[in-house]
Amino acid sequence: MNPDKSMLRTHLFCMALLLPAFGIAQEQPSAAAPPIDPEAMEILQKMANYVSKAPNFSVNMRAGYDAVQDSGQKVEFGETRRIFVRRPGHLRAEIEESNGDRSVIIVDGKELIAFDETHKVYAKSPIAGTVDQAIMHFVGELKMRLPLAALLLSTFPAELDRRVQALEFVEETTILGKRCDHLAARTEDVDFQAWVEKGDKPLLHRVIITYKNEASAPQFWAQLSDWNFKPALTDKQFTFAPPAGSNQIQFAAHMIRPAPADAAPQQKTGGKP
Amino acid sequence: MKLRYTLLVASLLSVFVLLAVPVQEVDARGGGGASRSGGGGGGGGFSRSGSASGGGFSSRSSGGGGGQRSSMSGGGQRSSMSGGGQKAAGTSGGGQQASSMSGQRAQQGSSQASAQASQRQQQTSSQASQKSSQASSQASQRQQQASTQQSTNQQSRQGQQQTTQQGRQEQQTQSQQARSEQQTQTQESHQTQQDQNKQSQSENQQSRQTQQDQNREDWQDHGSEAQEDRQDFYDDEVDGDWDGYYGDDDWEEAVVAGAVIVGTAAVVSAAATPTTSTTVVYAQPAMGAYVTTLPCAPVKTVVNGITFLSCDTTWYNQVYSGGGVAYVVVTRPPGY
Repeated sequence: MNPDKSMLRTHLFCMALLLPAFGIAQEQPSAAAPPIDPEAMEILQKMANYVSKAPNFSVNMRAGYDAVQDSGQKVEFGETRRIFVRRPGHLRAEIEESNGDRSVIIVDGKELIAFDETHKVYAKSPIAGTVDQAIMHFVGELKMRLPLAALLLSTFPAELDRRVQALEFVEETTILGKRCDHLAARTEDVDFQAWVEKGDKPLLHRVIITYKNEASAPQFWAQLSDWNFKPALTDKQFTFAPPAGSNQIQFAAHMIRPAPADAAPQQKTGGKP
Repeated sequence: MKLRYTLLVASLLSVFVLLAVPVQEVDARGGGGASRSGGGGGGGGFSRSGSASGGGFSSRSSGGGGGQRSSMSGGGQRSSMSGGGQKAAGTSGGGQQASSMSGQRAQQGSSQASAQASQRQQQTSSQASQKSSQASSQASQRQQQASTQQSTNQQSRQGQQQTTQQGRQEQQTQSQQARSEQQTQTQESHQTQQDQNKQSQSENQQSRQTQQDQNREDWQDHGSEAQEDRQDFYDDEVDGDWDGYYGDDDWEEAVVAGAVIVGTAAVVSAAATPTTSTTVVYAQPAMGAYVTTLPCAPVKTVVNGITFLSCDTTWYNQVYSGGGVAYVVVTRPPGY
């Protein structure tokens, strides 16, 4: 055998092995976003319409999120929420955080009240209008936390339609004992996955939101259970009576604050001899 | 032979190049994490906040992490963030403008409310001083009346002593007259005082009514303006990323760091046994800064229905912020 030919064959063999690797190395995620799968969008919109058109409903949410520390370490915190909606103007959310802190948010058609049971303080903001307006005021203006707030809006389908830039069907799977369609969506700011129940009741059972533009790409997740579209709701549930010993405070967004100044060292004389 | 070596070298080089590409990529990805961890973590507990805590379908903060996070520390930016202007960095233009406008409205609302609150405080203090001067005037009148009465009694008693030789009948008559005059004077005095009190009460009621009316008008105006602002906000943000809550709390850490310095200074001054006075130098939290925990067991003071909490010379108000209760550094209430 000609050694040159043998060497050439060996070389070509090596190249043949490495070319696919080279191809993979060059194959970076495409900048072009995948298109919106119309069937997946139909599933998503069916779910959104089902919830947004319901005059009343209640649902339980168990959620968690990554809090990215300065060290880069991700630490998960969680909470449970019991949510009651009576359109057009009533909302109640009972919250228990993973550290045991409990709070309540009530929208009674005239006011929005946030009550912190742990600190026995509450804040009010007048909001005569719909649940939609109250939620947008609470989250957008008062900068308060209300995870998956868009889910509670009557405009939820439009919110999704406006934001989703790419949407694909992933697979059929089972979440909390329900057969679900698993969808993966992309928006400008976040990627999210949704698990929507198959059949006549297209309920949302699980959501994962990835904040892809943030450092360490933290995630928020939520499991939604005990959907009830005929809940026994009473006026009392949407009425707030300050418990004895509780104090009214302001929302930080309403706080009249002086112009912040840099912290300057201050001398204090005196002390014990 | 030469060709063989050349091919071998070329093969080895190609293998090296192809393997090196992914390694460089891994290094590049790892670099971000290393630089973040090199920035030093915060002492104390873990932060519960962050962009994912909001659970929104959008995020207004831009990527880039470190730079933005450090620029936000220091408490001041939080104020502008709550208005939405700086928080909108990295978002599309429309949303940024809308949130910036909303921030301006919030600031205007805030300053209006501030002016109204200040006006109400001035009215209250003015009325309080009026009440105080009326009360002191009444007290002065009462003192004068009592003095006149004492003088009359003394004269009456002196007269009685000087006329001891006169008959008991006359004395009794004089005494009766004196008592009668005294009673009359006392009755007149009481009547005058009651009239003054009634007049004063009436004036106070009128004053209070006027103040209540003013307050009601102020709050109605404020509520009406706030309602209009909210409607504007709803109209503006209905097409924007209104739920892009950003829960960064670097400002809290900065202020808490100040509190740690205070604590350390206190320990040092307590541990030392100086014979002369000690000078304690500490960093005071910036006015308007937020903290989630107070550096001491605070002293609670209620001023005009508002609860203030104080640690040494720093005064706080409790506020609802983000996911829960926080404390904001405020100016010391007047008179404290």
